Amino acid sequence: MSELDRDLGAWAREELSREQLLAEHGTAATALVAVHDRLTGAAAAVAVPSAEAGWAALLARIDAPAPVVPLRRPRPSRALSIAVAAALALAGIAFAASRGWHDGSPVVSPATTVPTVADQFSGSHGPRGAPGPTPPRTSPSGDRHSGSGPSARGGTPPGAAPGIDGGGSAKPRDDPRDRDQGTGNDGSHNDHGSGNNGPEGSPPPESHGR
Amino acid sequence: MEVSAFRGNAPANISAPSLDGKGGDEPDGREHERALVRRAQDGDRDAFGELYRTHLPAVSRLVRFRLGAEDEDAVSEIFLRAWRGLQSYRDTGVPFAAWLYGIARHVAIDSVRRRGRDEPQDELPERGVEPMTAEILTLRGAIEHLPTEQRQVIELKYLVGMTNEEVAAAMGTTPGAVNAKQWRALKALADVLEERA
Repeated sequence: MSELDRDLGAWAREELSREQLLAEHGTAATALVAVHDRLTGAAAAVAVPSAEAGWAALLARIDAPAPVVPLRRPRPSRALSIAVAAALALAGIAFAASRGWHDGSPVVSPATTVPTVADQFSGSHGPRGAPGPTPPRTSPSGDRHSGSGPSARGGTPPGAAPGIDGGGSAKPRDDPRDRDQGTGNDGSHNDHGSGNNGPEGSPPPESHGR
Repeated sequence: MEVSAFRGNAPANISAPSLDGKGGDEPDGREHERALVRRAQDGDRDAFGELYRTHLPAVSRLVRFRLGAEDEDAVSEIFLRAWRGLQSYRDTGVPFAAWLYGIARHVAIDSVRRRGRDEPQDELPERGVEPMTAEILTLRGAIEHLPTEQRQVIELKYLVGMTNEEVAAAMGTTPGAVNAKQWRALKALADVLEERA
């Protein structure tokens, strides 16, 4: 705090007279005292409205019910928007249903038709299996194995238990010339069931232990 | 009741002593006001009427300096909001006048926005409801250049008529800090006024 601040405080506390303050600090204090005087004078010049008339007017406003401001104004376009959205949704559902009917596919729930990451990497093409189509699943549970077994090409037979990853019922049908003895190798060579995809007669990989 | 008399009538007679907090230790006046507020919170309109008469001059000065013109609707709006929001007032040592000051600031800001959304505030007095004295216009323009805290100190002390202790309670600081802010604000005002002279 500067000396001027201290003396201004002393002046405000009436411990220092205005003359003493001005004599001590000269123009620096003069400017502040002048602003102080102007502010007090201007504040006093403000006209105060009649208290009684103002109170009467205020009482009238107090007695009046508070205006209710609706949070949202009703918009006519909202109903139209909802109707259009509903119509579009219904049309989409109807189209999807009719398309599924013509394909001969069973009606499945939307949740089971959503492709998953597992769908893309499993099922119809296991480690040694050839890729094959992935029909829609009808149950979330089922066989996780792939390769041999009944084929799902052309649709899942009723009562079949598809795999959880979508591959259980999607085993590829073996090539008619295939002699892989049901290992899922679709090649025309005879690998004696080892799953070796190389040319016929080639030795199986070391990993098979042969 | 000294507080009421001081706030209602005496800014013109504010001498230096009245600005440092002397005269602010009026336990009877503060206690009387607390009782009025409690009664008003219970729905006593007469008690609120007394509060209205007590604080009307200070609120009128605030509105005049904030809006640049007399505006009885704005004054009325301040007290109407006070009446409707009275239940939210808690006596935590902050003067009732400081609570009113907070409402007045919001009403003034709303009013300025409504009046001149697209025009600078300096033009408002020329388009105001009533002509404004040149002195008030000049001081008002200078006060608008102050930082928020300094402006609050000036308004609470010179327009509302609060003491340093009351301003300190309202602003959550010490009377000494209020004193320093006041003189700093006066220096800034002096500089602005000198530039504009």
